[in-house]
Amino acid sequence: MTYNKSITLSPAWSSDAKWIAYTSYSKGKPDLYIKNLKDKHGAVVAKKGINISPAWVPGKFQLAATLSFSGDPEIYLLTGKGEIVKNLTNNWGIDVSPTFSPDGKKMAFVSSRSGFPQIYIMDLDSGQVKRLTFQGRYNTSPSWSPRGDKIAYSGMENGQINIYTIDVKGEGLTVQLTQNSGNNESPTWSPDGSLIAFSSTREGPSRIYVMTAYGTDQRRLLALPGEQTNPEWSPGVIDN
Amino acid sequence: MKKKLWICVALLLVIPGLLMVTSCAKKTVKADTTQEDEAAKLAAEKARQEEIDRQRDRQRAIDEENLQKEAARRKIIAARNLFMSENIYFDFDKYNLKPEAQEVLKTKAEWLRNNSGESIIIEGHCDERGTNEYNLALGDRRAQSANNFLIDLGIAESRLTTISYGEEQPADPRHNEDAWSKNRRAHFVIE
Repeated sequence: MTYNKSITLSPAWSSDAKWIAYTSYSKGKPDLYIKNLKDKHGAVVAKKGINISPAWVPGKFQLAATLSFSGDPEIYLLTGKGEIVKNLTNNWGIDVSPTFSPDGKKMAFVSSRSGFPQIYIMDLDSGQVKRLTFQGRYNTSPSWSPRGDKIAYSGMENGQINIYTIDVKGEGLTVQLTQNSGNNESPTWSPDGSLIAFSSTREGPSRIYVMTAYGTDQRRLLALPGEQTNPEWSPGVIDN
Repeated sequence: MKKKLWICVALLLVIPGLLMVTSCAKKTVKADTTQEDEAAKLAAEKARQEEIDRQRDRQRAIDEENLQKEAARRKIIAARNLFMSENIYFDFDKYNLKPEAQEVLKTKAEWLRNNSGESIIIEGHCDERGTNEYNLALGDRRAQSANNFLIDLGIAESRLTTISYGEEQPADPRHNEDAWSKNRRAHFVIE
């Protein structure tokens, strides 16, 4: 979809599948591009520093993204035109990788405010933040299931990175879905919440794999030259 | 008769005497001329030698100056190359400056002070572990740490630009700690 021969990453689909946001270095630094898939028009967020990790608010022409123009990477709420609505996180440390609950009321994200990257959940109405992950010292890349009950993420333990799911409610039951198969990162849910796509280095170079939400039937999706990372499942809306 | 004899004797004595006087005088002149010639020759020789010495000294001074200029030029190029080749390194998931990193940054600040017209770009990089997004943010913080330290050392903020490449541009593409430790770096580019 992009052919600009520069680094391009973390694509994010709007929930109506009409817009895509992604980070690209095509102007020499990591800027956030917001494009309409039909007419290719859109906006660019090109502030000083990094402009990365976009995530659309379900059902709204708004997205959250990490911008570091203040000197510290923080998550901001933006309009679909790239204008800042408000600063969602405001603390020293890295805040990155927002993902919204299907009802758009809560946002999970990665923060290193405790000293190590862990996953937190923010209630968007009250602004209250609660830590979600306590197992392991390095948990990143959260993805909220379209069913709303679980969050998939990458956790690093003993030098290995694996995909886990954690219950959003209750006692936060954590299940490890991959093991002893290289490094497994960037989980993303299928629209019906039954499958998870992710990247894995189990065969050497990074490739895209798919498995059920319970970790079974793990198989490779494709193998192209180079490395494939950061899969993002499209919302699966049928275009009229 | 005796008078004629005396006249003859007198003449016989006088004429050779006169002759001898004149010839003696000529000999002195000849000796004086030779001595002058000799002195002149020596003086000329000395002058020529002095000129040779002066020219040699001048050439030596020029060569010395050229050598010093060349050495100074090489020093400038070496300092510039060192600036661009010497990175600072970070521990895993950290963006704080270790003591060795601070020493390197002090050297960089000195170069920036000596080259007041130059601006630089500070690149932040990470090893491949962890999410690309998280590593973009971590690389950004690493570049910021170096940036802030240089500003604290008195370098004007306008001369410094930061950029993060996260894990996207490793210095060493292998998949082990040896490579990873080389990739967790800040790299400095002269604009």
